Amino acid sequence: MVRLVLSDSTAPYQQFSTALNKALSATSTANKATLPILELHTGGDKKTNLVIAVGIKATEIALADFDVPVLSVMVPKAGYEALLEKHLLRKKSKTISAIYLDQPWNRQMSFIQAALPKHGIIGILYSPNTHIVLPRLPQGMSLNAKSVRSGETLFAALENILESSDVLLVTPDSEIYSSSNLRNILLTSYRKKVPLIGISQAYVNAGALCAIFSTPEQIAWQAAEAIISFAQNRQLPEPQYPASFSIGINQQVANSLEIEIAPPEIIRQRMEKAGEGAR
Amino acid sequence: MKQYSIRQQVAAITFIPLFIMAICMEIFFMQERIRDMDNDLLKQGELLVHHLAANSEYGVFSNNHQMLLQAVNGALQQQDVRGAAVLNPASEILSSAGRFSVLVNAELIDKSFVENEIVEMIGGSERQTLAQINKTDDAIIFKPALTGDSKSVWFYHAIIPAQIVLDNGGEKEAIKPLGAVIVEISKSRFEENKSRMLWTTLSVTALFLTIVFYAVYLASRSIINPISDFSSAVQKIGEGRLDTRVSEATSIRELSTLAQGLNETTINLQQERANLEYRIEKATRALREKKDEAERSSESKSHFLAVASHDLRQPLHAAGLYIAELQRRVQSDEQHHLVDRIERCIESLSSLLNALFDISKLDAGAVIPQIQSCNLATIMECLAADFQMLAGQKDIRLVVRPLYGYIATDSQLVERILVNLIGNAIRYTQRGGCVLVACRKRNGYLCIEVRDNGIGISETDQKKVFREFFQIAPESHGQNPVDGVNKGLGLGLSIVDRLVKLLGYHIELRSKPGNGSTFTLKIPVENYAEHQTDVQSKLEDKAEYRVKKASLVGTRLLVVDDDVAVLSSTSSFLRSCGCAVDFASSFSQVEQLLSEGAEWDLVISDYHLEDGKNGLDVISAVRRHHNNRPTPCILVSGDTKQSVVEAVKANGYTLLQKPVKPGKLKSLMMHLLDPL
Repeated sequence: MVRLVLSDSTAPYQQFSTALNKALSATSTANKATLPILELHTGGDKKTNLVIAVGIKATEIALADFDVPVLSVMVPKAGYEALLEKHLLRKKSKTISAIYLDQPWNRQMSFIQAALPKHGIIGILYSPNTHIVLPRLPQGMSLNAKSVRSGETLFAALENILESSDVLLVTPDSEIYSSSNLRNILLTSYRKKVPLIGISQAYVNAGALCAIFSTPEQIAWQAAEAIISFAQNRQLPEPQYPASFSIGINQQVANSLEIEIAPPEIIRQRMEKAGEGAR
Repeated sequence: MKQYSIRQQVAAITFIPLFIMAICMEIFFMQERIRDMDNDLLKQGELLVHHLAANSEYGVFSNNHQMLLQAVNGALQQQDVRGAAVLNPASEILSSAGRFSVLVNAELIDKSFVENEIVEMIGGSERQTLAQINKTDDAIIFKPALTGDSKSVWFYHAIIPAQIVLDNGGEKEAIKPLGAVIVEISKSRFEENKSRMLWTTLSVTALFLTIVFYAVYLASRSIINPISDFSSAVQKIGEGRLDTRVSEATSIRELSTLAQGLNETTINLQQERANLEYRIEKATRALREKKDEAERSSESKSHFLAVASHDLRQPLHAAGLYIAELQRRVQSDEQHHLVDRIERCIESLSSLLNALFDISKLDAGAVIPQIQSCNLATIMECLAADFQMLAGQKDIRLVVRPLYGYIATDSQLVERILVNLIGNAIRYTQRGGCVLVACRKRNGYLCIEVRDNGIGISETDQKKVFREFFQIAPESHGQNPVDGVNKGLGLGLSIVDRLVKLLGYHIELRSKPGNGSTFTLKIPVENYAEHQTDVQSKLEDKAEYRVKKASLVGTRLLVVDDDVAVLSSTSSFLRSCGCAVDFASSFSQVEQLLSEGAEWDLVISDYHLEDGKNGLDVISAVRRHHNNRPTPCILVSGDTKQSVVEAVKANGYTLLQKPVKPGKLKSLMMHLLDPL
């Protein structure tokens, strides 16, 4: 029996839940496997064999309340790792895995290269207390990473990095890229004629030039596979990035910034050609 | 109770509710309007700070002072904005424009947050430098007390960054304000607007009320004018002008009915009055007829009296003169005695006749008092002289105490009164008694007392003594009868009573049987004066005094009378006095004598003569003949008519009423012949 725990009932999580149900029913008819019963966000049932925790909050609850394997989905890699670290201090042995929300660095770099071949310098802004593992850069690209130093305003750091970058790549850092800040960041980058590359469709909608991301449905399919594999051999796969991804482009922003950007299919083809295997 | 006119009442009835309504509506709408204006002000302020907050978000984020300055200047350009400022999260001013009434600083904002209820509500117990905002769209309005100026209002709005939903799987972060904006908006224009609105409303209301008042005034005229007409009409009717009518043409039904009623009533009244007047006139006419009849009968009575007196006196007068002549001629004592008796009878008859005529005349109102000033003492002394002899005959002491002075009265009437009183006193006083006539002033009256110690009058008789023909019976006082010959007629006191009433005087009687009687004639003292000379009274004085001194011997006389008996008796009496007498029975005979050259010292003529002539014609003829020498004349008449008396007096002659006593005639003749 699989239990689904949602962080909340916002649209992405609902989409995930629906998609997961759909995916599971599709696969189960093919394999004639046991039908998992899905319940929302209720704890304390010992008959549960696997918990699918959607979001950081749900993962935290699942870790605390269930003594069964947990598959955390739609969590940022940094957030998951931090949680895991904290949790493992208390409970040593625990079957836990994850499907991250964010994209792997390589894919992102490949995407930027495919989408904006002329923009070589990629700016990354991060908050002081986080550490990022800088990726290996493809040819013709350079990284310009800066942290917001203490005593410095976000604006000053932003301005600084925008001065010396061709694009600004958003990191899943909620201290910088918060709902409150995003508008001003977008405004600032727009003023500096530096396009912003987001990490979800929301960024594209808000004014980012483009974004590479995985939709809840894509993650749900991946999760369904993991569940089926768990049902067969009682093992969870290793934590992994989403396998499928989508590309969002804000053509209006491109027009405003006078940037020529290829349609998503072309970009995907270029990425595939460059060697990033994706479905 | 205080009274009001209809117009005032109508005005009050219509005006007061209207006034109250107008005031209430005005208050209501004013309140609404003021509230609206206040709301407008708040809305405007909220909108402005909201806008400014949104506008300065990026400026604050980017710390772009230029941008913020533009934003605050933009806000300042809005109407009524006094000052605008943008604060950073530490409540420090990033940018400000305009002039705030109080310096904006963190302390002020802190204080405001502490005391501002709205902020408490929003911020809860946890207080930060900037108010913690849950309701991002709310502006905070500072209390005027905190900002130190009630003429302006302060708006505070946190700068909340616009939120973009990011499904990055991270935790929901708390929204933190980037800073805040403060705007001060002046209320002065609003206050001005309010007061202008107040004044406008007030003047419009006043205008409205004035128009209403004027309309009421006009409307009330249609009621008041007819009523004023009624009022004046009623007043006129009250004054007796019954031909007054009021107009029935009025638009008000009740008033029309009232007018109709009033007119009908007036018509009825008019008819009633006409009817009444007719009846009164009728009654008056009847009365006038009765009065005329009475006057006619009174006139005929007077005429009868005059005629009767004239005709009765003529023979009596003649008889008196004959008896005087006879007295001279008779020789023997027995004859003398007889003649005496006849004389007394005639005298008695004469007095009775005189008394009866007097009463008749008095009753008929034929006697009119001739008021003139006369010497009271003279009258009294004359009376004393006249009665002294009579008193002496009865051996009665007659004492007269006159008061020297003059009274305004008819002396003849007063004399008649006193003659009667004194005569009665002597008559009813026994031989050897005493009669006192005294005059004195007492209690505002001039009192003439006639007192005797005679038989007196019993109390029951006292009420009767003034009646006609009442006499005190000798038996009633139980004494011997008084001298039978002197018995009165019983008319004296009734004449006295009538005369006293005629003159307006009073008479009092005090008496006890056996103790004598006192009659008091009371004349109001204002008629009395101590000093006044009167020619006529002096003349009379002298005439009375000289009676006995002169003699008539040798005097030439003319006697004229149409009654032959009178003529002959008078002539014979005068001849016996030693006079040379010519006589004529008519005016023609007088003319004849005059033409024969006859001259006379004195003329005695009857007033009424034959052929329509009278005594006056005789006298004038004589005087003409005597070359206008003022020959003394005496006119004699049995006629008591006032016209005759006046005609004689007007010519300055002396008139004697028939019957004339020989003695009186003689004394008058002597007076006229010898005035000194």
